[in-house]
Amino acid sequence: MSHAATAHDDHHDHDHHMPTGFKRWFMSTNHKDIGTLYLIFSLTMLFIGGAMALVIRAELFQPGLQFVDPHFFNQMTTMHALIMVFGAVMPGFVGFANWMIPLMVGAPDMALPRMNNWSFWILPFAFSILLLSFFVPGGAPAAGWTLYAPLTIQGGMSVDMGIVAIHMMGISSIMGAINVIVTVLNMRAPGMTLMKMPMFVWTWLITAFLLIAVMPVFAGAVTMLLTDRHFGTAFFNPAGGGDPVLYQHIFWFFGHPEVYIMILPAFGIISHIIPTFARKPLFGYSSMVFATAAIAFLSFIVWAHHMFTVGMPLQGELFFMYATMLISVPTGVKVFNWVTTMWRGSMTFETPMLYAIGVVFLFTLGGLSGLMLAITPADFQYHDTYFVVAHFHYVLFSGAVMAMMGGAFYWLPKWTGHMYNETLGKIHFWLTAIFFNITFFPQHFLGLAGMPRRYADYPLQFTEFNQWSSIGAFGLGISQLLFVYIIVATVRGGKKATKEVWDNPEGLEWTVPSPAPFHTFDEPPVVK
Amino acid sequence: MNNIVVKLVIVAVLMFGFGYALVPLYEAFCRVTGFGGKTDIIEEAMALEAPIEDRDVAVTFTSHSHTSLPWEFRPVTGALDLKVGEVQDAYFYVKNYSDRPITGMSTFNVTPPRAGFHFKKTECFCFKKQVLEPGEEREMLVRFMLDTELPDDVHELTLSYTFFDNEKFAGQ
Repeated sequence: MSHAATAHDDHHDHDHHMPTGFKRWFMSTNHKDIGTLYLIFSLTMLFIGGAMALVIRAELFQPGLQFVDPHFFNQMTTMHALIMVFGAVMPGFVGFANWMIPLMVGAPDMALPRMNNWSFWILPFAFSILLLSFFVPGGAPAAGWTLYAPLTIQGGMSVDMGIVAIHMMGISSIMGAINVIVTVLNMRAPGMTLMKMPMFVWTWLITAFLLIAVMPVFAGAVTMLLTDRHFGTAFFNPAGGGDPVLYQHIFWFFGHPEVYIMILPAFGIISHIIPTFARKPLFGYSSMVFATAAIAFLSFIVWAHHMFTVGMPLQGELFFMYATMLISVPTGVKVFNWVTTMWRGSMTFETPMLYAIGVVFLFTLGGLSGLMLAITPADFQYHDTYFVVAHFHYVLFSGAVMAMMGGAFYWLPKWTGHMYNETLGKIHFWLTAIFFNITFFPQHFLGLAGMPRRYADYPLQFTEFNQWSSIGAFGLGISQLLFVYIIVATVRGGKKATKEVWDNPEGLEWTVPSPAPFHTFDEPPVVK
Repeated sequence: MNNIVVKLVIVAVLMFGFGYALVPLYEAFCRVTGFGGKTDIIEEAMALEAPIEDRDVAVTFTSHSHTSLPWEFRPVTGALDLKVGEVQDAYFYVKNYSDRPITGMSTFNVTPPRAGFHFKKTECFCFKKQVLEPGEEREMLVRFMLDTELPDDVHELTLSYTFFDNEKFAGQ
């Protein structure tokens, strides 16, 4: 091993040996290049999924049917969610993991670079299949992203394409997760004990375990769907003795840990940004670690709060209600720690910090509406209304996506070697935050007033809030073009970034030059 | 390092299996607890020996034929009043209106669900597939009792059947 490593180093020490073009990007085993690919893929999917969201919002601008027929509307809601969850948010975080974990633990690369290449290059194929399903008879899957049986047993060929795509992205996620775990457990710099690891690495380590535990369960669920559809089994088909509610149990056994898969790395990013701009170390590091682990554990025993209305016995509803409410304790610990880190810090409000504070504030709002939904008797009113839509966009957009945007601004100088335009960054934050709230805050009211989700039409009395929401959505969508502009401009040029970029930030990633060279930490750093 | 990779892959494969294991686990969970309105089966001899309590319960029967099935399916016995512990019979009428033989299988459900576990059948047409020739009609039997554990506040319950086309399914 050591001999091979030396030979490897010799070969790559000269920068002009760096591969270019096809070889560099398609056959890459370099964690930074693969991280970049993941991030570009995620951003592309954000725009594709976002365009679908705008179709939804355009249709809902007025009552009645204006632009699309209800079946196409259902395809839009389904595909928007599938693409955002599996195409934008999850690969986005894997991109951050690829770029930052080796830099943060002082490793030269991910532990399994070849597998890293595979896990990325599966994704474009998976999503091509998923998107091509628009062109088969009957159009794309339209049963909602949860793919509930028995509706998906009846759907057309697109459901099969969706299932294949889910299998592929599941394999990709599992390989990515294995890579993260092996890297973190084996390749940390000497002296970096587990309890000295940066928070982002911790949150990703726990996320990776969640992925390995639940992605296969989802693969199992959709495989059962597939055999129910074509091979005469009857897992979910009552005609053959199956039970449709069983699908919901299996799906949400995956689905609830999945929502933490999408938020824990965001917590990690926030836990880096806030200490840097508050100029204080993270408050309560070990309680952060244990809170993350506690959230991950609890995520396995709360799944049925997504299905309070299926006719569960009272004992079941009580159990899932209390278990769900329990999650607010470790989450509250985290929010407390972030706020306390800021307390009496020498705060400055550069773009990443604005995002971090925005996430802490808006995610907490989403957490509060989550607590409302956890109350079983209240949930009977909120279930499948726009209140739920508002809730999960507060945790997913202003939690996960805005944390990624903040993380992108935070590490962009490290990635590109240039400072981004601070004024434009701040403008982007305020546009995003304001339009996000215009889009989703009124949806709370719509939900409480009884507007169900996933309908192309609505009664007149919901018009005004829907118009607010649609105007906000278009503003939010257009604002993201500025995000792309800032990134492209920063890649192309700008003020040279220093090694540390910010004011004395903590972490090994700030000890390497900006932009981070193609190969870093050939000699492991020593952590004291 | 490879060791960890192998272990993690094994965990992933096991979790795939766990997804499938949830199927029998869920089934067993419902059967043992009676959650979800599942009913129970009892030997006829035992049912006849069971003590009869002076508690009246009204049982209503409803039935549907799935749209995939060109069958008429309705309860002959619309409703019954019976005492807890007493064995009773209910009849259902079914007719195949199509010009081909069809295999049907019926699912069942008791409302309120918490009463399902105490609804015990000794005999039921839903225990096995029913094959109806073109134009064939039939009266079918359900023999059942309510056990003494039935919650006190349950004074009426509904037994519902739905017939499905079972042609495609190998099992059951």
